[in-house]
Order: sequence, then structure tokens, then C-alpha cells
Amino acid sequence: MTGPLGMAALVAAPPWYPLHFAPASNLVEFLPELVVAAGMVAVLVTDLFVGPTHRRRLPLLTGLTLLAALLIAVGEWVGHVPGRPVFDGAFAADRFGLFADFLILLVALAVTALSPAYLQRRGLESGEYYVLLLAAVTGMMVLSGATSLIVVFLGIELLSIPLYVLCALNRDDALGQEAAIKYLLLGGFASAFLVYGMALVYGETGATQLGRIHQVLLHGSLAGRTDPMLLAGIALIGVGLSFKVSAAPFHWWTPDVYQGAPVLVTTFMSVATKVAAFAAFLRIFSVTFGTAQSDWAVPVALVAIASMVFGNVVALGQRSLKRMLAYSGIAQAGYVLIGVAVGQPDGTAASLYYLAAYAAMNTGAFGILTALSGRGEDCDDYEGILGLARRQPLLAALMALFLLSLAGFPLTAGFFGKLFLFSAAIHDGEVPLAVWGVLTSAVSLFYYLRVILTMFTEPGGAGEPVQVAGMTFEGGAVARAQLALVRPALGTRALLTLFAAATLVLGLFPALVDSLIQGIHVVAG
Amino acid sequence: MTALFGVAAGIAFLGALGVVLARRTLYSALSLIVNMMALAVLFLLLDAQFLAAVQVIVYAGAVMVLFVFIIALLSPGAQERLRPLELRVVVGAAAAVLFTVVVVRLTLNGITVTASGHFHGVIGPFAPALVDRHGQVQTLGEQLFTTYLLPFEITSLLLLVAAVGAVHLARSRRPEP
Repeated sequence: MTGPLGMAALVAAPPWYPLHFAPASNLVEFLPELVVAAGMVAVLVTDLFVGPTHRRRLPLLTGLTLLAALLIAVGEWVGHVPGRPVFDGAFAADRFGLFADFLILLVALAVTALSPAYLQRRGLESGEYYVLLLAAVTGMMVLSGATSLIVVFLGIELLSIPLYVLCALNRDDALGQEAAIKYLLLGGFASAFLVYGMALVYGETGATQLGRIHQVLLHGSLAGRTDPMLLAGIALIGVGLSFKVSAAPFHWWTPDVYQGAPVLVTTFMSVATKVAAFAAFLRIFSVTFGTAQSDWAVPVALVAIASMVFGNVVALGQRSLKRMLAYSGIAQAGYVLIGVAVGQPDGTAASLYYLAAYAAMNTGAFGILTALSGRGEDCDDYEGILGLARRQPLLAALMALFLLSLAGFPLTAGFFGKLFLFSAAIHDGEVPLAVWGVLTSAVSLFYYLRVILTMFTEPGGAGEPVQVAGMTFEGGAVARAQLALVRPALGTRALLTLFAAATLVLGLFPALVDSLIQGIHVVAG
Repeated sequence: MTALFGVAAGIAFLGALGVVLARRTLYSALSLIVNMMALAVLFLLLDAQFLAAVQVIVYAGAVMVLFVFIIALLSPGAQERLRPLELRVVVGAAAAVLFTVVVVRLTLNGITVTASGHFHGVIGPFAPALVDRHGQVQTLGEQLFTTYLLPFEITSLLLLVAAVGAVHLARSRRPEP
């Protein structure tokens, strides 16, 4: 922490030229984000100039944008872009951030592919949807590579604001409007915590760049002592990030928002937001504040346990599929937090593997609900999926696979995800975390299996009530709910099968992805 | 300089009087703009160029536009004239006198306000030594387009997205098919 920051660059500039602009090479490392942002503007402009008949081309443009960004990101990974921080320590395209970008882009691609059919059925077609989707993706990618507190904050806002609007996509749906308002108000509240924490950390360390903050904590005046203001800052940042990953007790918005938003939007936000926010969580806590780990490890572990217990227990009582998956998502956030509490390098690697597994299985589960949702409303009731195995055997089988994976069944992605997390916790001496994880996983089996049982139970004859796993289904309600469901097109079924394949691959050949993750070095900035 | 200070302070004072005494709410708001502009000149005289710019852009600009908009929307009638011994007049006058006394006492006790007098511990790009050497606006501008170039650009993206989202939400509902 010596010397005026940023002034070194000024010295290097010719004496007659007062400004030293960031060199063009900085842009190379920021290229995937730039491509998505440019695609967003392109979609916005195209939407203005084409008529409603040509709107069909917007999802194509969106998909191509995401594909281009994905290819560039792969190129950066393969080409060993050094991943050093650019823009004066504000952003790094390191392999850690790129890995998160892969997951975000793949989920966004899947959601884009599901969009046209779903939006058309629900009568929600609009150009702004694709603009906001790309904007949120930009924000997530910025967040995953952010190495400065300012950029972390901007990334979170850039991903949140489009999501607030997307929740209210259906202007005729009061639940959706309510979800958007709740998400906006509570999200603003969480942002205030986050900024307050950042201000305190900046006040103590004099730097916004994570790398410099890390150096100050390592070698500067703060090295080796516990500073109350810094701890308060870390705690407040932790609260803000816990809100974004929907960890208990900062999760209250999650069930209402996941249920109120169109299920297509929920698919996207439940997975991609979590990946991006956890990337920031891991980078800030495990790396930047790594020296203070003894101070924050216990609170983070408590939040992890609270999320696992609360999410899994409350999910037991849900009669709405979206709410059940929302509480399941809270519990899943708790599992990933185990990796944060364990810290570098084992915990980070285990968290990344779990996030990859989560991206495959949770996108799959919500994707099936999206594909089934018909004209009137989203597929949200157990009544609708009663006997799904006979009517749509493929979808029922895929859904069963995704749910078993979420529960952590062997041969699926979730099994190795949890295994890596629990063994990292045990190696680190945090045995209670692993014990709580195993216990709550056992609890979660009940509500996941209940969905599977429902799908594989035959509906009774007309008017006959059917009993499944403690739930009673009235014949009339079943008939109504099932009429609302649709049979997805071949392409949609193929896409969901791909996600199921990914879930199996992650569960059968964990070394494939784990070898990628083991090579990751997290840049602090 | 002293003459300029006198003029600006006088205008600020007259503007403040106008806010209180004007009978139409719109005139009160306009007087407040005059007061804020004069304050911006006072900030400039104190070498606080950035504060002066923010005063004009944010307060006299954005905030007052909101004020005037709301007044125009609600179009309240004329206010009744203030009576000298009304409660709010007494309380307001007492607060003003108290504030003046405090400021005068502080000044007489030798507390001076300089750009770098107080924050000795501050490090980083806005350290007082640097600010004094390069000037406030220059330091800020340089930092904005070098160290903070990326956050600056992302902010512009954020504003665009917020505008798109607001338009989408504010547009009337789809017509029934």
C-alpha cells in the first residue's frame, strides 16, 4: 500500500498528454462481457426497427450473442489468457471467473432456447425481455470477474435491476407484480448493507481493489490484528451477498419471488444469479479476506447450517412446485456455503463443482416446469404432474433424474457435488458442517421423492380422490390442472435431455470437470 | 474576491428570503434555485470546484426539477401570508439564530476549513496531497477515465438498462386479444 494509486500510469504517459487511457489489451480480457453488452444494444435497436412479424428473430440474435461470448470465453480459457487484473485492478478474466461465465452462459442459452415457445403460449412476447435477459447476463459476468468492490457492486446492480423488471413481465398477474416489488425493495435493502460494508472496508484499507485490500491485510498496518471496523465491513458485505445467494436468514424474498415470477424467469434467476453471486462470495471471502478467515468462518458456517436446515425442513410442507424448488434452492445455497466456510483451495474447488452440478440439475428441474406450462398459468401444482409418467414418460424420467440429483443420489451430479463439499469440510476439521449436510440431505429426500411418487402414480377415475405421500388429489382439480399442461416440442425435449446427460456425466465421470476446476487459480485482483 | 463573495452571499440571502416569503409555491421553488446557484458560487470561491458542480447539477438541476414537476402536477393554491408570531416562525427563527451563533463561535475559535486540513489519514487516489497538487476536478476527472474507467462505463450500461426496464414497466398493459 505505498504510492498513490493509479498515478504510476500518469507518470508513464508523455509529459504533454495528461491522461493515460487503459491500453487496448484490457479490452481483450473484457471481450466476452463486451460482446454480450453489444448484443444487448443490438437487440434493443433491432426491436425498435422490426415489426411484430420479425420479432421471432430476436431470440436468434440473443442466442448467437451468447454463443459468441461463450466461444470467446472458451478461447480465453484455452489460450491461457493470464487472467491478471485489468483496468487498474478492477476486473480479471481468470479461470475462476471464466468457469462461472461458462455456467452462466450455458444456462442463459438454455433459457433463451426455452423462451420463444413459453412467451408465445403465455402471451408475453416482447423485445425488452431479451434485452433485459442479456443485461442480466452482462451483470453476472461482470460480477464473476470483478476484482474491485465498486465493480462487484455495479455487477450486482446490473444483474438485479433487469431481474426486478423480468419478475413483473406479466403485467396482468398480481402475484408477479407483488414479487417484483418485494424483490426490488428487499434487494435495495440488501444493496445498502453491501455498500455500507464496502465503505467500511475502504475506510480501513484505503483501497477498493480486492488485490490491494488483500495486500493491506497481509502486509499492511492491519496485518495480524483484528480490527472492529474491518470486521463490521466484512460482516455487512457478507449479509449483502447472502441475500443474493438466498441463504437463510436472508432468504425471505426467495419463495415469493420464485413463485410470483414467470417460471421461465425463475429458471434463469435461480441458477445464474446464484452462480454469479457465489463467484463473488468465494473471491471476496476465501481470497481477499482469506487472512481473516478465523473471524468469518464460524458465522458463514452458521449461515450454511441455517440455510440447509431451514430450506429442507420448510420445503417439506409446500404444495406449490415452484415454492418447493425455492426452498430447495435455499438449502442448496447452504451446501455451497460449506465450501466458502472451508476456504481456499479445497472449499473453493468443491463449491465450484457443486455450482456446475447445480446449474445442470436445477436448470433441468425448472426447465421441465417451463416446458410443461401452458397458456393459462405456470405448471405449479402437484395435481398437474399426477400420472405424468404415463402421459409424458420422457419428461417424467428426466424430472426424476434432476430431483434425485438435487437430493444427492449416487450416479448423479449432486452426489459428487455433496461428496466433495462434505469431504472438504471434514479435511478442514469442520465435521459438524458435514454432519448437518448429510442429515439435511436425508430430510430433502422426502420432498423430492414425493414429486417423483406423484408423477408415477396413476390418476383415479373421474371424481375419485387419489392419495399420494400424504397429499390428497381431487379428481376435478387434477383434470383442470392437467388440461393446462402442454406437450413440449421435440427441440425442447432434446434440450432437457442434454441437461440430464450433463447431470449424469457430472455424476459418473466427476474427474472430467474436476480436473478443469483443480487448475483454477483465483486472482484476488 | 471579497466583492464577489459579497454579491454571491447577498443573492443567496435574497433567494433564501424568497423561499420563505413568496406566496406562490412555485416562486418559493424558483427562489430556492437562485439560492442554490449562489451557494455554488460560494463553493467555487472556497476552491471546492467539484462540490460546486454537484451543487448545480444535482441540487439546482435534478432535485429542483422534481420539485417543480410535483408543484406543477399538484398545482397548490397560494399560501396564506406568514404571521410574525406564528409557532413555526418562532421555532424557525430560534433555530436560525442558534445555528448562526454556533458557526460564528466556531470561526472565532480558529477552526478553519481547508481542503486538506483534517483528513491526514486518507490514502489512495484522493489523498489530500494529490488533490492539492492537481486540483479537485482534475484529480477526479483523471481518476474517472483511468483507474475507474471500467466502473464508469458499467454505470452507463446500468442507467441504460434501468431506463429500458422503467419504460417496459410504465407502458400500459397489453390490450386484451
